Amino acid sequence: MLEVDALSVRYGPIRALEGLSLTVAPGEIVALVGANGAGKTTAVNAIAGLLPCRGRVRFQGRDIANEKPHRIADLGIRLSPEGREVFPELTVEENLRLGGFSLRKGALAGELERVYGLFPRLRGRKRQAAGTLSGGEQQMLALGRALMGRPKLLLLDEPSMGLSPQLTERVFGLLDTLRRQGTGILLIEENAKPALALADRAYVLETGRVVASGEARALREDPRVRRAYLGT
Amino acid sequence: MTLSSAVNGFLGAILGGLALGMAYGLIAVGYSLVFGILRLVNFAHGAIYALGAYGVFFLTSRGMGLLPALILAAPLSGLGAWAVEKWALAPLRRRGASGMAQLVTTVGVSFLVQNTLSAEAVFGSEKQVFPSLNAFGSVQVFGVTIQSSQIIMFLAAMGLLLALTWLVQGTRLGLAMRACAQNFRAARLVGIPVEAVVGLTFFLGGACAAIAGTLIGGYYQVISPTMGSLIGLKAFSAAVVGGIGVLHGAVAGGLVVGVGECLAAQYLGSNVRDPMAFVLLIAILLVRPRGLFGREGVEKV
Ligand SMILES: Nc1ncnc2c1ncn2[C@@H]1O[C@H](COP(=O)(O)OP(=O)(O)OP(=O)(O)O)[C@@H](O)[C@H]1O
Ligand SMILES: [Mg+2]
Repeated sequence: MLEVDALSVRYGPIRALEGLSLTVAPGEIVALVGANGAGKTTAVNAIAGLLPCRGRVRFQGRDIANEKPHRIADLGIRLSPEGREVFPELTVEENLRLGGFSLRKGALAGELERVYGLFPRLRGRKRQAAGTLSGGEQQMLALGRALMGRPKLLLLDEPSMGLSPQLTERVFGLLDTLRRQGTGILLIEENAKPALALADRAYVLETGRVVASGEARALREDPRVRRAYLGT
Repeated sequence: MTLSSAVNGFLGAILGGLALGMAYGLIAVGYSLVFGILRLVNFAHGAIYALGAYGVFFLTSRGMGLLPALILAAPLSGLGAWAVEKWALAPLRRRGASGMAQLVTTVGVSFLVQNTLSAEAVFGSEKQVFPSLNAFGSVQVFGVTIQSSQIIMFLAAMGLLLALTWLVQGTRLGLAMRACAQNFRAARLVGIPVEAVVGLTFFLGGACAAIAGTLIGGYYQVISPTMGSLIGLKAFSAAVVGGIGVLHGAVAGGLVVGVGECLAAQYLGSNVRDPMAFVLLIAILLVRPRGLFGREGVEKV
């Protein structure tokens, strides 16, 4: 459903991404791994429309490169961004409602229920300002917000950041469920091992270029992945 | 001076101040809304206030009633404010210009509008007589004379401020506005058309300013092309006094400034009236640097 071809992004003179090509199919989890500064965040931000880019990005056959981010969101692509970026002064519920901004009223209530079901902790903190949540709770909120409206393609930039190992496991379980329901997922993870265990395929980024790609399991023992995550 | 006339003078100043202050609040929310969303002081706001009053002046001088003229002129002035954002400010932001560049642009727009209004071929720089808002004479309450223009000004401004509060706090659109005020990027990611929301914010502020221009113009029964500069600064002070970016703060600030200047005029002489807003601004900020209702953390991504 997502086809990225020769995607390049520069920040002024810095070439953060050079000729990235990747695909994500429905019901597939694709991991994007690489060392700090490799260009992972840049890639998903460009796909979500936040950064001007060169190259082609197609979603369900439609060219979305340099399309406005709210249009891209409305097509069913949702990014849970690095650093969470919840709306700190709004309540948990308002944050989730914003996640379902384009939904009709009736659909919104159902989606709220579904997300509260996935993250019961958020239900108890409905009226709390998002900025006063713990780091892990904010991460759940960012995920929940991205899940509102059942996106077709999820871009997840380090969704386990700040989560306990048990919760990370639960989130990965949730991703597995979403995969079986047909959602496409592009996953960036600091922890390459569990991510590669979960993912179907993976791409390894090094300074803005893909240096390896293929079946996730096969990549687990790849030296280039090890190099990207020294010590893991 | 008898005791009762002293009390009447005091009450008169308070009531007059509340009426004027509510209208200031209506201007102040425009500064506050735009500042909240862009962290920008929109110095063109006072000019839109004047533009609205002149729009109504033009239409009424062609025989239209005050209310229909206002119903036409307010959204048109809102469109004017929207156009400033769309064609002068948004392009600057797209090119990554600094906040200072946007600020200077609003100052420029303010002069442009003012000078256009005062051109001989347009309205000329002299003052013009504006239709009176004092539709129903005056009433006596506990021996204090209150003009119906004051009551109309107070109620109309309050009604609009309540409606605006409902819009911002109680609707989906208002939620989007509040989201944009906190984080543009996250707002875009959830599907909010951020530029449209910013444009709408300017529209609302501009329409409110035009209505305030009509209320205050009708109260003093006189308008001039430069009418927006002093009142614009006063209303901006009011927004800062209340805590800029906070809606009810703008209203509270407007009331403080309005009552303050009427009391000053009553007891210290009419030449103290105009500086009073700024004396209050300095005094209140010394005690509460973020204003009466100001919050921590207006930082934004
Ligand atoms: N706004 C920016 N301006 C200039 N350079 C940037 C900017 N954002 C990122 N970069 C640079 O682009 C490169 C890629 O950054 P990016 O954030 O995509 O890396 P990443 O793979 O997500 O790293 P991490 O694992 O640390 O999150 C880095 O060298 C970074 O310094
Ligand atoms: Mg990153």
